[in-house]
Amino acid sequence: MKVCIPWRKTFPFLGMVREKGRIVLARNLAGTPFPSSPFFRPLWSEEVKGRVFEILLKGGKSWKFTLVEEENGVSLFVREKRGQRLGVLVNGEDHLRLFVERMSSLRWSDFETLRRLDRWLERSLDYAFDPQWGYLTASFCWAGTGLRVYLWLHLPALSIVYGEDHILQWFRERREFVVSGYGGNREPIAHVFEVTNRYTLGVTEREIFESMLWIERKVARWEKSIRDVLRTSSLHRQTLLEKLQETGKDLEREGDKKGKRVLDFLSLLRFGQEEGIFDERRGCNPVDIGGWVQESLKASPLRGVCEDILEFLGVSLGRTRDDV
Amino acid sequence: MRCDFCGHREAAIVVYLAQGETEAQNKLFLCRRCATHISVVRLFEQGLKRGPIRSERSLNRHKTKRCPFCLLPLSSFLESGRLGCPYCYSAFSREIEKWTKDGQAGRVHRGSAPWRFLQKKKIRESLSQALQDFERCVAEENYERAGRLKKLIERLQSLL
Repeated sequence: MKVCIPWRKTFPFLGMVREKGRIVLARNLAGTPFPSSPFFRPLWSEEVKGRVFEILLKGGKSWKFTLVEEENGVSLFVREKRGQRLGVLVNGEDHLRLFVERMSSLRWSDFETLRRLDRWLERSLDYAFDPQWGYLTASFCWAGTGLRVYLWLHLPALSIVYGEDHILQWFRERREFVVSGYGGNREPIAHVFEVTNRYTLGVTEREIFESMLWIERKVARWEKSIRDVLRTSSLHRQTLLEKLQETGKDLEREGDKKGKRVLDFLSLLRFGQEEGIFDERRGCNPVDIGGWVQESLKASPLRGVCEDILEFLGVSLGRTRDDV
Repeated sequence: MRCDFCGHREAAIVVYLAQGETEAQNKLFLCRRCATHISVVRLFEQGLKRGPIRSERSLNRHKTKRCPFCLLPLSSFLESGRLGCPYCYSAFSREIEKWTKDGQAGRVHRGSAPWRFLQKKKIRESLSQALQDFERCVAEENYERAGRLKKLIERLQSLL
């Protein structure tokens, strides 16, 4: 198996920022211990599973969920439709984690779909709710609305110009957001930043969603403006190309197979090619990069997030394509 | 000056420790009750080494406090940040409230609520209104209306 990079001849929109959004609602059943509790015995697990399965499989014909995974008592139901991935995770950290995700910017319609699913489940299930604490969740960081909006942004231009630390600092100054690397890592990998809402209690769902939408638009606009500068200035294009080639050579010389550096390099390469800053085949040999990525997947502690990041960057794992 | 151990009674006794590194660390302010009940040697060995005395006191309390439903100890909740069941919220409400001061935007939920909860809330509101009207009707000797209200109260109570 080799890594292939499905380069496109032309990218649909120049300056388009790669984004991924996920909206999650945490819900628990009233009068039942939470799954993360040591007192959550198999008996409780079966009880929760039985109740939820009955609703999702028998009653949920209109939702058309399919059971895609069942492991250690945790079950995942998913429905994919027009780029939208709607799902229900049963007995994960909470009894129910309803989520919707899309490989694009946040959409109000996705949130509405999730709320519809929540209301539909609520008709048959009695949720644990308290007028002061809102929806009761296993982790009190989720208490209140039980809503988390995750946003992943690919910001290579901002990372090059300002540096990752400065961007992280900028996000941290805004108290209502939590920023990290992909999968909650401390430092961003492949220039992908994960942003999520800090507050779940004392704010409404609409407020949370709108604040996330605001930050998404602001950062995307900022990234686009930097990309425009990089694209139009020949000096910047040349500098970027030289930087990429140098990084590539360093990686090859040093034999550095650590995930972050390889993925950062891959991110820059992808960005440069998408933006038309440099030629598709210039700068490196994609098969070599494939080798590096494979190596890093084997040995890197980032193994868990590597595949997600590659998918996010539009790099697929599979047989080597003819055009590479 | 408050007692270093209980934190709420006025300190009456000062204990000087020979091994304190700084001036603040070599004194213990205790109230009369704590001074008679607690071993100062134990306090010094366990409490001061870990930092403030109050943390030792709170650790002792954490060992004993539990959720009445799932029996999750408070210490376990403070270590992992995870609650065991919905009842843990009322059992550890004081600790969660402390955290919400800094960690959240507010102390009370402002978002949506389950449909069942809203329905029950409406019923309770109607019930309290009906009870008030019933008492007024009885006082005004309007027994015909009071009879109708009694039926309504019974119906609302059966819905709860």
